[in-house]
Amino acid sequence: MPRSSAMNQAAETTATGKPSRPRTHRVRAWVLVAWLGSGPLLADSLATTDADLEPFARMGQALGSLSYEGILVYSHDNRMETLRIQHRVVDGRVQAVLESLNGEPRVIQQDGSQVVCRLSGEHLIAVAQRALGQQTAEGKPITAQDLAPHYSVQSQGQTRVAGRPTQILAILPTDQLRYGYRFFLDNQTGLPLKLEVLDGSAGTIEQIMFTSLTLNPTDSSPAVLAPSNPAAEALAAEATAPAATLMPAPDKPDALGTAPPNGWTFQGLPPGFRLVLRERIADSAGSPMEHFVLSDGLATISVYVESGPQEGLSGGSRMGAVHAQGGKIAGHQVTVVGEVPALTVAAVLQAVRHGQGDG
Amino acid sequence: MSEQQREHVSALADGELDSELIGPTIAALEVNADLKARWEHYALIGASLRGEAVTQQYRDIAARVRERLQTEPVPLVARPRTREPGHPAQRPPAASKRGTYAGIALAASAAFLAVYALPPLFSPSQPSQPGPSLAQMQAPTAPSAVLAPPVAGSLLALPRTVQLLPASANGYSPRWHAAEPKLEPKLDRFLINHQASSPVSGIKGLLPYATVVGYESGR
Repeated sequence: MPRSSAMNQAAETTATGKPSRPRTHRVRAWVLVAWLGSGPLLADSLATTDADLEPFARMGQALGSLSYEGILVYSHDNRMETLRIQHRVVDGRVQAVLESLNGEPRVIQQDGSQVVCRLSGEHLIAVAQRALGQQTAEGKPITAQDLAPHYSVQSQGQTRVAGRPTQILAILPTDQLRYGYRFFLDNQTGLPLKLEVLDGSAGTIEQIMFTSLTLNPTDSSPAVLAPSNPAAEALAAEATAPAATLMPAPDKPDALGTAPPNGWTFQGLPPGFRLVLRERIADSAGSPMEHFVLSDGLATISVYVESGPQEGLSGGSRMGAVHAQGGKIAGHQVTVVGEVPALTVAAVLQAVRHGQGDG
Repeated sequence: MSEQQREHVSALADGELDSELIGPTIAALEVNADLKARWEHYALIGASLRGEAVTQQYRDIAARVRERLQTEPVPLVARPRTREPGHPAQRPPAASKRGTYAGIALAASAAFLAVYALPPLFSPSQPSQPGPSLAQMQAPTAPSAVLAPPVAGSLLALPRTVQLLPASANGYSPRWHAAEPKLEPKLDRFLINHQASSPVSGIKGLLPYATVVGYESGR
């Protein structure tokens, strides 16, 4: 999106609709400041081409085709955790286990498109993963056009990770409304051996790094659940809600200019973010909720809308680089979650509208 | 089994049930076979995910624990053998009720330990032999299959749901900053579902889940 267009959009959003609450103005003003303050970086972003993204395409292919296992170090908030990953590809089907080796026992298993999580011995969470390989939620590869307005891609040399030579590539944000990522890609395979999450000033927020890696381990048996996925079947057996069906995402965000059937719209989203997916999912009690996914081409933000007197987040919360913001809108509990700065999730919550200009 | 009871059992195992409902819910578990079966089903899921042997011994675990408790003396409350000055002949009704709930809770706790911490005690004949997988056992009746297999060639056709199922009722370590502990399971659920929908997940494989798995708040 050209800068002038984005500025117009921002201007329109602040002036759109009925008089806004003072807090809305405050959040949007900060969003505008965070975006305008990024001007000098914008020129670099325009230089990004699809050729710059080829290593990421190779990385996606490696993640979807290679079997490997190793020990990872995850660093955040001046803390360090150790994880183990086992990743197998059997007949094109990815089966993987990621587990914590210290602190509370937690594990995430992926079997094809299904992901089952066990956290702290407390509860299980099962979801069907949609985005596999290098695809967006819309099923399209990431392109330079998607990234250019708000990110720039830089090659930052070579180094070694886990004893293996790697190429350093960074996707840097052009403002303070989204994070950047620095990838350390294995020269031989293309696998990401280290990943850093960066703030708008290129400071490291958190990082994850292989300390040991074994390619094509001799034990090539599936690392996780059998293809029949009995645990997932058991989870499914517990479900009482009717199967949720995804709704096709609108081609353009402007499609939300008129209220969709469920009556929820977004007005004045942070620059670059647009609606890419809308679906109805069921919670553990079978209660349906609306799930909206917003994206700027790389970062994604989820908006969950629950009906009824649901208990939910009021205000902000954070876990690592992930921020959440919640509140009541038109009698519904709305929760925004995403790997973006706190300001961005707050701005998205302020952009949620129910019906015509409700807010 | 009413929908409300089912929700109460789910909330109980999540540690989210209001305190005044805990006693009645545990009492309902004792007398309602359907509720009990649901409780046991959660245990099977947990054992399967942990890669533990799953045997038929897991079935009717609560009944066998209850039988064990009935055959072995469990002095929940030391009752005075003789009436002494200052001691009433009988406990007041409130205390009696608490004692009942304490006994029920103890039985439920024992069942929890048996299912989640001490499975070898209930399969002594095959302590180290892997049991049949869930797939080999009779499949549970499924009122509806929410996690249906993906439809080839159509990612958008994937039915999706988020299931939050209990595995234990022990304490929960707070990880979300500035969020009430009781909201953390919901935020975890939202986050994981979000990660599964994220294009960033696509280019980083399981790495985005590192936060979910590895994050320790240190609180």
